[in-house]
Amino acid sequence: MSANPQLVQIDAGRPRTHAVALVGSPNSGKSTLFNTLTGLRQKVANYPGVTVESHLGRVRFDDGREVPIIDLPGIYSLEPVSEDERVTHDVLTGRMPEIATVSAILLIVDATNLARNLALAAPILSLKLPTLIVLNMADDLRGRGGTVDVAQLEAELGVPVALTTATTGEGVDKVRAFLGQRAIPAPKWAPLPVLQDVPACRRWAAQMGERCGYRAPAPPLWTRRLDRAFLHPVWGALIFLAVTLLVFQSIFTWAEPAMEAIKSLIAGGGQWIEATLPASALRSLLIEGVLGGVGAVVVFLPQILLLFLFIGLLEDSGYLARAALIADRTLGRVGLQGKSFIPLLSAHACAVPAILATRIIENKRDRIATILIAPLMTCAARLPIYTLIIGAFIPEREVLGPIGTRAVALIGLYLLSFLAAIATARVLKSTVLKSEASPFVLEMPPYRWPTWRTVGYRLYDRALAFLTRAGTVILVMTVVFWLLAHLPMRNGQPVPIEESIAGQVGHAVEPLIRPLGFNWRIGVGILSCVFGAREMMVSTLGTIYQTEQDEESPDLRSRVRQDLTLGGAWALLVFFAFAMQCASTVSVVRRETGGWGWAVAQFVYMTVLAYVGGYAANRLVTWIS
Amino acid sequence: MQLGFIPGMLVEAAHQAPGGDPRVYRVDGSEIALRQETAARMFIANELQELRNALD
Repeated sequence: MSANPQLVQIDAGRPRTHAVALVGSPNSGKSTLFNTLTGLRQKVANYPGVTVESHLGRVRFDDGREVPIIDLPGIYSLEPVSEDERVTHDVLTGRMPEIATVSAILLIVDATNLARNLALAAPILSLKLPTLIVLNMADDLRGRGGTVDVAQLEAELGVPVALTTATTGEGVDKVRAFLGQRAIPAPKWAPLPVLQDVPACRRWAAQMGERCGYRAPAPPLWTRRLDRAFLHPVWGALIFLAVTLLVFQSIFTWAEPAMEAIKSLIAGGGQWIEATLPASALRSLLIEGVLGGVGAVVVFLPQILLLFLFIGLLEDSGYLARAALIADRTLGRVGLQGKSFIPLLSAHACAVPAILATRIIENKRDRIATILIAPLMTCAARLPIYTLIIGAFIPEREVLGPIGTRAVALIGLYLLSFLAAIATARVLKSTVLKSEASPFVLEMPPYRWPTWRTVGYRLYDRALAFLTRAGTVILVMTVVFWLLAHLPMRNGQPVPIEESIAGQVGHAVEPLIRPLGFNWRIGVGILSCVFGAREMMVSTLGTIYQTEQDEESPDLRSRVRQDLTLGGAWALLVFFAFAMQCASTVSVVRRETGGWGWAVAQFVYMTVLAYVGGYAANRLVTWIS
Repeated sequence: MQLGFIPGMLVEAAHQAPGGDPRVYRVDGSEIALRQETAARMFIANELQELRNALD
């Protein structure tokens, strides 16, 4: 920016955001406190140039004043080693004024292990900023027989201290009172240890604990009991499998009624528009473009919310850390690690949140490998086309009890994607992304009851982000695609889709995709996916068949059956299993890997894999039948 | 090191993941999981052994 003086000028003239920074170690209840303080007055802030996500919020007071507050990434120390620590360090020391100028600090400390967690207070207090130390999880501390003298700790550290339970709101008044002061006093002088000396900081923290009469709570009995089952060599593995299956089952069966309801709502809206508006280009745009395109995406909201509900419950209860531990050995065989489990599970709903979830993986090469294979997992957006093609081409026959041929085909596609992902990870980790045996360090937090409030906030956050995307990017893309499918105009009427721009492009690529058994219509469908998302495929095919006005067979399924050979149908399934047809994923990969390099490599790799796989499927099926 | 693996700290081995690796260690009031190859890089003295040596 310094190359452009004008930009600097504008930047300097803009009033800088003064904010109170929320700092603390992971699992200290930092985000819960943030949610309790700000309510829904918050937004996700993505830092330019860094791969760390954080939240900006406002605390409102009775007199109408608002104090901005920023939730910085969870850290164990202030030494800028990991990406998270570097961002927290830079924001606190004023090296990132574009994010916020920190006017005061709330340091959240898990009170159940004060002697260890207070060590972070030493580097924070050395910043000499007004600070409030929040001893969180007071209920846990009391419940297990621990005590601490807050007034004595205030005297020792020279800063105010609050004892809170963020999940219930206990003690949060004192935090609000601290934030509400017109001028927050700077800390009084207190002796601090040499910051670079970790053992010295730890000794200092223990000493502070002793002086304020800290009695550590008894070990968490329930956590030990539960771990005896959850980490049992046999039961633990079985529970892990059961939990994973439950998450899957819920995505597919429990989300169904809600998805059907949204579908009928969209259909109802379409009928209403058809009845109220006269036949015109606008009506067609609203029904085919907006409702058809955006609606096809919004239908997935229940699935995505259910997935995040489960991940939220598992994470807040503490089980997710155990799941990562159990998965570590298996994922370690292909060169990944336990922390890849959560992103890879999420990727079965949608690759975008999965790629964001890879931020917990500290090892950069492991993280990139996980990002690269995540979009190969069968995301929810592939289901509509799978259902259509399988329904059209595979006759339902019983195989084993309630499981029929169609279910077997679907499971086969999941396995195919999964195996391709595992093989890719293995190749990557033994070649370009080969790394030293990465240190796997993962804290096992005590089990806790998740609260509806925290999980609810997260779901609200996700729903909002998802609907915003559907209402902006996807809406624009579907409108653009609708125009391409109807232009140019001839005699004031849109041309048939075959002669439209989209149709012509479809015809142009037809020779390229004919080896896979696809015709130009499939080509247009695949191109429409590039514009929006994979779920566009079905609605595009619907639009094409509809505008061709083939009255004999209006049913989409039977039209597809006429349009494709059996080989082409299988090729289409394999193509969709492997191809990267999702602009959102490409853009999130670019952002998270810090450049176009990996995003382009991934796109090319997946496209080649899809083409070769589709070709092989077409030839194989044609040869067999 | 910030997690509590600092000289002089007592480390206690706890649960293993199915298959034996990684393993959870209790150190400094919390539970940390480490892979064997990471744990092998730390130097740990056996408490009992040290006690015996001191008595001899």
